[in-house]
Amino acid sequence: MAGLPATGGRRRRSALAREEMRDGYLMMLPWLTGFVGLLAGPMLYSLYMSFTDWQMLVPARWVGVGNYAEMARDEMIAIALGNTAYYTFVSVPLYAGLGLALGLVMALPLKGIRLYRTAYFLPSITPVVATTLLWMLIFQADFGLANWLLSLLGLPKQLFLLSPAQSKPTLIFMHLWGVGASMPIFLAGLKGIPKELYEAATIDGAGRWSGLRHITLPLLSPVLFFVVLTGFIGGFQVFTAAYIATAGGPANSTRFFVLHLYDTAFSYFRMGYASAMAWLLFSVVLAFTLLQFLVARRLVYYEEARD
Amino acid sequence: MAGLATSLVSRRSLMRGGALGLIGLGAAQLLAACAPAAPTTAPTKPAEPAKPAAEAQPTKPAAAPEPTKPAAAAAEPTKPQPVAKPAVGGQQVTLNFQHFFTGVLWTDGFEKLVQMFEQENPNIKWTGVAVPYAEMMPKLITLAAGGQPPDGTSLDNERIQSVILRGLLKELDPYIQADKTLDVNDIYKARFDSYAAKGKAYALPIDMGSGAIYYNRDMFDKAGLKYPDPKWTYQDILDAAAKLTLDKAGKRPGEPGFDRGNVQQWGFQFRPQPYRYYNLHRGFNGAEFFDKEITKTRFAEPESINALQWFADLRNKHVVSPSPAADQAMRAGGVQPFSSGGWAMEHTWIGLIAYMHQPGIKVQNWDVVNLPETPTAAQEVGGQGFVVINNAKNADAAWAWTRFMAGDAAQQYMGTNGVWFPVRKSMAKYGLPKSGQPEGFFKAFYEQVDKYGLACWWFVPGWEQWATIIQNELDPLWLGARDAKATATAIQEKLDPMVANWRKNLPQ
Repeated sequence: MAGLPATGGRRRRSALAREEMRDGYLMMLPWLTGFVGLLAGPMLYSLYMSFTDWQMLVPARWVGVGNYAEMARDEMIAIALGNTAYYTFVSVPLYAGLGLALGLVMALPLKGIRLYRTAYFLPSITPVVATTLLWMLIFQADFGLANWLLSLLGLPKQLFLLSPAQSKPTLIFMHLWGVGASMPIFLAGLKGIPKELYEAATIDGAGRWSGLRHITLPLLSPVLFFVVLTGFIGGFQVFTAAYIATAGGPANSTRFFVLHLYDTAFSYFRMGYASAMAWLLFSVVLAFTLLQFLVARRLVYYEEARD
Repeated sequence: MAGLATSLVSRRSLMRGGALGLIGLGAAQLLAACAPAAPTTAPTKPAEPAKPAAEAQPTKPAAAPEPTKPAAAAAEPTKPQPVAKPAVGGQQVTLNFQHFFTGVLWTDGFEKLVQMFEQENPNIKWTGVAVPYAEMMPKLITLAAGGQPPDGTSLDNERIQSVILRGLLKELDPYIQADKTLDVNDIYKARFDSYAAKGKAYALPIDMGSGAIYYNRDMFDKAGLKYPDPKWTYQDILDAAAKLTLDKAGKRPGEPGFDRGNVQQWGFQFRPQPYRYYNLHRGFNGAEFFDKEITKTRFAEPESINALQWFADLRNKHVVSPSPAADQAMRAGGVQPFSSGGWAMEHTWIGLIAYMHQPGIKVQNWDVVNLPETPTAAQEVGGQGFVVINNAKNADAAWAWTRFMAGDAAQQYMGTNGVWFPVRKSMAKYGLPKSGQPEGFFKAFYEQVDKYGLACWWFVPGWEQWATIIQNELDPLWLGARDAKATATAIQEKLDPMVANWRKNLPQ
C-alpha cells in the first residue's frame, strides 16, 4: 500500500503468520496429545518391547532381534499367518463382491426398497458377540438349523465349526452376514454417478451390461477400492468370532494371528514376543495396503486430474 | 458494517479459548488417571457365570449348617474352632481380594463367608473385585505389571506355578509355621503340594476338585447290568458302555441297524481337556505326558499311544462315547447331559454333585464310583488356592482371609451349603449332601485322593501353551481323523523343543 514502509508491512505479516500458526497448533493440541499419548507413544513403546523378553511380572530383558528370529522358526506363527491369509483373501473379495451386488440391487427404484435396505443393514450393527453365539447354534453339528436344512435336501450332516476343513469357511460365511455394512457406501457411490452418462450410453446403443462394465464399475472403482482396502485391513485382524466360537480349534484351523497374539501376551505371559508379533502384523498389513495403492493407480478411476 | 452490533468475542478468540479449555480438561484427566487407584468394592451380585460353563457348579439347595450323617468311611472328629490371627496389630485395614465368586457362588456362599470373616476379624474390611473366571489371570498380571496388584486372590493349581516362578506370590511358610492351630497334615497332600514350589508353600488350597465316574443306576437296571464295582477295570467300563449305548431305535453298537448318527443314550463320556484326561491316560497303563524332569514329552511312547488309541476308539470304533459334535448337541441350552439322561456314565469332577441336587433334575437314581484302581492309578486333583501377593499392602489381612477359608467354620459352611467341597480330611464329611447321595462319595472322591493323589509336576511356566497345543493336536484324534501314533508324533514334534527349553524362558 502507498505510504507504508516496506519493512513495517513484512513485520505485521510475520506476526500474523506466527499468531495463526500458534493458534493452529493450539487447536490441534488436544488431538495431538491423544495421538501421541494413546497411539504413537504406545506403538513406539511396543516397538521397544519387541526387542525384549518381558514376562510382565519381572523387568524386561533386552534380547535384540531374538523375538524376530524366533518368529522365523515358530511353526505356530506360520500356521496363524496361513489361517489369517486364507480368511482374508477369501472373505474380502466375497464381501466386496456381495456388497457391490447388494448395492446395485438396493439402488433400484423399487417399492419398499427402504425396508429392504434396512433389513440388509441391520445385521451389520448387531454386536458381533451376539451374532457369533447365534451362528454357533445355527451351525451346531448335531441339531443346528444349517444341518436341518441340509437334511431336507437329502444332504449329509456337516461338522462346520467342529471340522478343521470347514471351520474357516464357516467363519467366513458368518462374516458375510454383515455384508450390509458396505451397502450404504456403494449406494452413495452409485448416486454420485451422473445419470447423463447412462443416457448418453443408451443413445449410443449400450445395454445394461455395457453400462455396468463401462460406466458403473469404473466410476464406482474408488468406492470399491475403499471397501477392499478396509476389508483387507480388517481381515488381517480377525479375532472375535474365533475367540468366541472355536478358541483357535479344531486342530489350530482357526488359530488366527491376532488370536495367537492375544494368547501369547495374556495366557503365555510373553509380552515381548507378542509385541514383535504385533509389529510383524503391522508390517504385513502396511505392505498389502501399499501394494493395493500401487495397483489402484492402474485400476481405480478418479475423476479429478492427477498430479 | 455501521449499525450492526459487534461481537464482544471474536471467532478466533472463541476457538482459542475452546482449545485451551480442552487442553486443561485433558491435563486434568491425565493427572487423575495417573493417581494411585483406591481398591474397588466388589459388586455383590454381578451377572457373569461363576466359572467356565462346562465347570459351573451351582449350589445345592440351601441347608442348615449342621453335619450330615457320617458315612462308613467318615473322618476325624471336628477339631476345635481356630482363632484367626488379628491382622496388622489390630489396625483397621481394607483387604483387596480379586475373585470370580459371582452369581450363586456369591449369593449362596461367599457373601456369608465374607460376613463370617469380618465378624471374626472386625479390624479387616473385605473388598473384592469380581472378574470373570477366564479373565482372572490376565487381570491379575496386568494389575501386577501396573504396580497395583490386589492383596490376595484365588488361583487354580494348573496356573499357579506360572506366577510363583515369576515372583508374584508371597511365600506362606512363615505364616503357616507361626499358626499353631493350622494342621497342614489335615489337608490332602496332593492338594497342598500342588501349590508348592522348591519345597515352599505359596497358597492354601481351600477346596477339593477331584473326579470320579458318575453312573445312572436306572440305566444299569434297565440293561440288566450290575452296578460298577470299585474293583472294576477299564475293560469293564467298555463292556458296560457297549450295553448302555442305545440309538433312537434302541439298538446297541454292533447290532444290525445300529445308527451311529442317531444315538440317544451314550454309554460313557470323558472330558478331553488334558488335565482331566490325564487320570485316564495314566491309570490305563502308566502312560505319561512328560518325564519327571520336564525335559521332554512322553506321548510317543508305546504306552501313551496305546492309551490314546484306546480312548479314541471309545468314540470312533466302539461308538460308546459321544463325538465332539454329539457332546456339543447334548449340552445345548446349558443342559448337563448326565443329569438329563444323555449318557449312562461320565467321568467328571466332584462339582456335578451340587448340580444333580438341583430341583427338577431328571436323573435321580445315580451314584459315583472311582476310576479303576490299576497299579498306575492316579488322581490329579485340582481346585482353588488362596494366595497372598508379594509386596501386597495388606499381606497379613490377605493371610487372615486365606487362613479363615481353611478353617473349620468356612470349610463346614462351604461343604454344607454346596459352595465347594472341603479340602481337609476332617471336614470332608460336610461335603456329602444331606440326602446322602452319592453313596460312593467318600470312596470315589476323597479316598482316591488320599491313595493316588498327585500334584502335576508339569504345571510349570509354559504349560498354558503346551496345553493348547496338546488339545489342538488331540482334536483330530477324537474326531477320528487321525490315529494315535500320528497324533502322538505331532505332539512330540511340536512340544519337545519347547519343553526342552522352558527353563530358559524363566525370569533370570
